[in-house]
Parts: sequence; structure tokens; C-alpha cells
Amino acid sequence: MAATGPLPPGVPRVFTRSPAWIMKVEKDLISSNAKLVPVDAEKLVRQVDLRLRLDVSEQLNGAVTFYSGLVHLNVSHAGGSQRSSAVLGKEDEGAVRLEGLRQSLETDVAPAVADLGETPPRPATLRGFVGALAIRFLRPLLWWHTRSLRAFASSAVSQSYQELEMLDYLAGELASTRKEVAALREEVRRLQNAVSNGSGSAR
Amino acid sequence: MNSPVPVTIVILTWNGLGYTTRCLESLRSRTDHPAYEVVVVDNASTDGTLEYLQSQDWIELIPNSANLGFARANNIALRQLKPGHDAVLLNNDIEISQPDWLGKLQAAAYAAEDIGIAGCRLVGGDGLLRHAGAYLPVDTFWGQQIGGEERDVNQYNDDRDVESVVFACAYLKRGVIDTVGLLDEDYFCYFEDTDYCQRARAQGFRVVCSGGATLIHYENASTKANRVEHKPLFLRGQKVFRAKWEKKLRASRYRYSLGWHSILNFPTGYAISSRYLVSALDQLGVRVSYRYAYGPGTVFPPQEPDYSGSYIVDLIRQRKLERRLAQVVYAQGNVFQSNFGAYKIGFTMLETDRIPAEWVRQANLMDEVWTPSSFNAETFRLSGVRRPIHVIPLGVDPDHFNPNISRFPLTGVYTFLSVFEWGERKAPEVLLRAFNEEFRREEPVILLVKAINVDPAVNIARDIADFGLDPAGGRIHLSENQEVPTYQLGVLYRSADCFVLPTRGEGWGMPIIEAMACGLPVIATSWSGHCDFMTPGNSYPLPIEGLVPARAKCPYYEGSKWAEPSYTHLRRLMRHVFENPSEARAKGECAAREMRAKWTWNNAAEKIVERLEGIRRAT
Repeated sequence: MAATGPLPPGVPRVFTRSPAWIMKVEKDLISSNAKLVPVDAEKLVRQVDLRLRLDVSEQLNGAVTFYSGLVHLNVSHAGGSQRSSAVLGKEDEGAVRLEGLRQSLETDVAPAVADLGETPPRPATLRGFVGALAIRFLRPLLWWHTRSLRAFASSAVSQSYQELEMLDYLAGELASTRKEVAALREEVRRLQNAVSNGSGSAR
Repeated sequence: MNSPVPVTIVILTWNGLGYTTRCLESLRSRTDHPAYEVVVVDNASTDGTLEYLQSQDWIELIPNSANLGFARANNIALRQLKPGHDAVLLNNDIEISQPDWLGKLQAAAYAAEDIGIAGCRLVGGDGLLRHAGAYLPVDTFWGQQIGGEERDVNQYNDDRDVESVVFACAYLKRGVIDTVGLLDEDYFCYFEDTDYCQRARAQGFRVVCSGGATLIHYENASTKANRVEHKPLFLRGQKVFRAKWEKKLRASRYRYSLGWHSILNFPTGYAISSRYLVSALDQLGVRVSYRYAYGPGTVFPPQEPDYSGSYIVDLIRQRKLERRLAQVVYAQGNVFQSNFGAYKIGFTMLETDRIPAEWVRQANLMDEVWTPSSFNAETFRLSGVRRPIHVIPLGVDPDHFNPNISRFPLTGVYTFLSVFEWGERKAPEVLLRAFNEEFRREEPVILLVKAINVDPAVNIARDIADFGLDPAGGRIHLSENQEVPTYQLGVLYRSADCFVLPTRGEGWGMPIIEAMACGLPVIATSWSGHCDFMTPGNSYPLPIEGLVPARAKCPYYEGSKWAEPSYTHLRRLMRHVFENPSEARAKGECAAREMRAKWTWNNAAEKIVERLEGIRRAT
């Protein structure tokens, strides 16, 4: 059995900065840069499903689609765009935007919580040196402050996730409503044709 | 059951009108059981609850002039239970969301004569699982609800024996009430349910948790509605319980003791399996005490994190290891020598055809050696281990890995799934090339790979670029370093159609057994540890080309060999499964049945207990 594997529940899963002791003792096995991003199984599957549905409308090149961190979509704001929102249907555009939001939440907002209370980089100046000394002294005294800030930020991030979930859900509902409306419109059009053509039966 | 036994549902209220309204309305509109009636006992509510209840002519109301507490108030209704009726105690902060809940609960209660009490799955308003049974560690007498606040993915979906259930919803068969009596009125609230379950079990009744019935439970509504502090009430109940049960339970809870040197709280395969093993051993009456096996001079840090997320595992970690005990080191073979027990056991595995000389040296210092597979029993012997070797299998968690876990299948495609840590041992180049070459882009099939890569020297995208895959070939979706909680991995397996892993060697093969337990047909290399549970009858064993030198970034592989999976056969098997989905599904179903019957953590713990009994007799 290898020395690494899936994380058990309850273990912190975002290794944006591995503790120094891990880096020292296990640097070959656990990278200081390794970033395991927690994701629900349902979300993991849904991101693939979304991508598959988008692929159907656009034949993207490449044998492998990556989902690194959380969601990787080749949309314009992420760089390396292979399509623009102009070529997407309204539903797809909404889905892509939602995934963009999710990506930004995962890669920018959520990891920033871990940085709260962390010491900033020290400039190589006397002022920087003195400042760093002062921070080193003050930081432990502010533990309560850091903790409350982190708690607040975590709850804000969690709230954002829930809002995103809700948006996701609403987008799904909207898409299905659009489909129903389109089907009804088609039916109305067909009935109108049938009536104007003098057909005796609508069905 | 021909015609269902009539049931009286007893609901206790003490303010909390909103909860009660929701409970009764959902009960009335969503319960499809043909023979139930409702008795509400009101503990002198003052917030309009009483007036509301008086307006409900479909219920029977028993108003009390004071707050009598949970036990006394429920007993009033139980004393008036009609002949032939069973009782369901239901909290007023429950919401019914499943029409057949009562039928399912009743079926669980009547599945066997000796079942006396049945509880059910309780999910919070936030969708997190709060209860699938309960247990009471005798170290602290702090009751624990099984469920761990995990997201509800329909885990614990089978009817299971449990130590107790919470009486937020409890089905009490008439027989148990007649034999055990009423709730103990020494309790005002809290712990009367644990007490009742203990009394029932002492009388020979079983307590089960129905996996088919799930209710929404808003929890502690009465204490919230009445602004009562929960903790003092809880502690008061606990005190009564301890006075009554502590001696008896402490004396009877454990039959064996075992020292366990291992790892519990790091993200490793050993740690995950270790957690399962110690928990299963605890349930079987083995008092496990613990010591971290690694530290200075090993590949792991000097200390491990304190919390595991599991109450029982955390308790076990706090118990001090004693020299007089039989001790197991469950870890890599180069830390066996930390064992200082009266009887020394080394428990390990390795995915190659031999084990390192240092492991052999340390294994020969033990009184006996355990390993999970017959494959490793053989490789240990061939490597020079001279001590008795016993095969003690690992297992799978059937509560989280079974064919009824929630699934989210991908639209319109057959999905091959592979889950592994990116590296030479799992042969990713063989898998990706074989799939990409065998299938065409336009075919309704994909390979979904969930890979973890924590090695900064490895760049998966660059590796894949070197594979030279064909853009017109089979489509591959690769999730890198997206970490799904262990308890949700079943959802991932269940969302796929076939699991594939052309591994070069496994000590045990956890993802393989998990996928099989979920009912997936599995294609995996026919060599090494997992061959004990993976057979041609329940899976698609992948032939090997032969043994080749094991080359990977691992110090334990020096001079060893592992298997080279057959590329041609892999392509052929994937094509076969894709074109014969019914046959593959049948194999998967067979696998699920076998894994549940023979290869659970409970089975593994039973083997250990058997061995402990053997050691006890011999020493």
C-alpha cells in the first residue's frame, strides 16, 4: 500500500501550505505545492456532465479534458479560450458563467481564507526587518482576532457556496422551463397551422 | 405481514408550534400507512400549541397541566395504548418527507421475531445525516449518533443492528413494551432512549436502524423553543444513566484487549484502513489502545494530528498502550520493531513480489506476522520471513459502498472510471493509451480518471502529452487533485458503469473492492493482493504479460518485480464490457453480493478476534 492515498473525512484537505514538519520529513511524498481541493462527488460528476453536454454542441479538440483544482473550462476569462460566449446557447452561457463563478470561488476566494492572519512578505529593508519583528511579537497576541476573522470568512465562503448551489438549481429549473415553453410554442404553432390549413383534427 | 399491524404514533409537544404544525401536516398528508392513529401529549404549552392541537380533530390529545418531561409524558400515552397496537414515538420537530416511512419502519421491526425496536435514518434540515443508529462509548458515556453529519448520499441504506436508536423516531413493538415496560421516569429527558434500548437488549431483543426510512429532524426543537439550555439537561440524564448502567456496561463491553501501533490521522491508505479496523474491533468487543507507529527516522512526521473526525477513533487514540497486551504494528514493515507487547504481531503488505530485507529482519522479531492477502503470505515466505504468517484480510465499508448509494450518471455515455494516485504502479500510460486507441471520439463512451498527484516533480499534463494520444480517439476526462471525501467515493463509483485499473501491483486494492461493493463490473490486473476477492466469476481479471522490475519512486521496491498488465487484453476487455453491458452489470451485482457477505471490515475484525482467541488459548 502506497504511503499516500485519499483523505479521510475530518482531515484538513486544502494543502495550500503544508506545515513545515511535513515539508521537512516527507518532502518527496507530500509536496508543498500540492493542492487537494475538496469537492463533493456529485459536483465532480456534474462538472464532467456539463462539459460533455457542451462538447456535443462544439467539437473541442484534444483527447483529454482536465479538471484541475475544481473546474477547468476553456472559457475566455481563464485564458486559452477555444470558444466565446457568442457561440454558446443561452443555457450554455449561463452554465459557463456559473462555472466561472465557481472556479473563482474555489481558486481565489476560498484559498484566501487560509491566508488570513498570515505574515506578509518582508521587504529587505530596515523598516521591513523592524516591521517583521513587531509582527512576530504581535501576531500571537492577536490569535482571537485571527480566529474570528477566519470564522467569518469561512462562513462567508460557505454562504457563497450555498448561493452558488441555489443559482445552479435555478439555472437548471430555468433551462427546463425554457424547454417546456419551446415545446408548447411548437405545439401552438402546429395547431395554428392545422387550423389555418383546415385540417379536421388537431392530432 | 398480511394486513399491517396498527400503529399509534405518540408525539410529545412542549411549545414549538411551528415545528408541531409542520410535523402533523406532513404526517397527515404524506403518510401512506393504512392503519395508524396519532396521540399528541402536550406538556402544558403556552404558545398556542394547545389551541392548535385542540383544533385538530384527527388526533387524540392528552393535555398535561405541567411539563412532565419526555419519559413521563410519553408513558401516559403508552399506558393507554390500544390492544394489538404497536407504538411509534415521534418528536414534534420531525418532518415526514417519505410516504412509505412507516411501512418501511414497520417492515424493519418485523423482519425478525427478536427485533424489538426500530429507528430510522434522520437527516437535518441542512441535508446532513444526523442519525443512523447510536452507540455509547463506555470511556465517556457520551452517546454518539452514527451518521457523522455527512452529506446524505443514502449511506446506511440497509436495515442494520445497532446498539441503540434515538427516540426522535422509534418503533416499539407491542412485545417489547409488554416485556420491558415503560420508559424509566428517573430520566426527565435525554438518555431514556439509550436506557430503554439497553433494557430491551438485556431482555434479548434486537435494536435495528431501518435504512429504508428517512425523516427530516430539526433537532432539539423543544429546548430551542423554550430557550432551555440543552447541556445541563443532557448531563442530568447522563448522570442518571451512569448511576444505573456504568458498572454493568464497563464489565461487559469488552472481551479482549489489543495494542495497536499504526497511523490514524494522515491521508494514507494505512490510516484509512486502520481507522476502519479499530472501529470494527471496538464494535466486536475488542478494547483497542493505540500508539502512533511512525515519527523520527520514518517517512512520517513526529506526531500526527489529534482529531480524526470519528469520536470512537479519537477515544482509542487517547488510550494508553500497555506492555502486557498483545500488540499489533499495522504499518510498513520497517517499524515493526517498535512493538513492545507481551505478544508481538507485525501486520503489513507490499505490492511487489518480495519485501525488503529490513522488513524481513523486523518481521522475524515478531511472534507472528499478519498480512491481508494470500499473495503477500507467499511473497513474505519467499522473502525469508520465518515466523508464522496469518492472512488477515482488510475489507470494505458496506454502509458507504453498496449498490444503493446515490448516483449521478453521465448523460448519454458509458463511463469507465479509474481512481488512483498518479504514478508508475498504477500504469496510467497503459490505461489512457489503451482506452484512447480502442475507442473513437464519436462513440458514446468516456474514461473518467480521478487522479491524485502530490509529487511536485510530476506534471500530469506533461506526462499525458508524452503519451501521444489521438484527439480522434476515446475521450478521457481527468480530475486532478479534486479530493472527494472518502464517504462520498461510493457516489463516484455508482455514477460510473465500469471500474478499470490496470495496476502493476496492490497490497490490497481498496478502490477495486470499493467499486465491486458498489456493484460495478471491474477490470483489474490479475496479480497481487486483490486476487483474493477478485475472481473471474465476479469481475474481469486482466491477464499480465509477465513480471518486470518495479521501477518507481519508492524505497521499498529495490530489486523487486511487479506485473506488466496486458495492453491488448485491456483494450479487448474494455470493448467487451462496453458492448455487453448486461453481462457486465450482472458481474457487478454478483461482486456486490460477495463483497457484502465476505469482505467487510466487520469480517476482517472477526478474523482478528478469531486470531486473538487462538493466541489467548496458546499463551
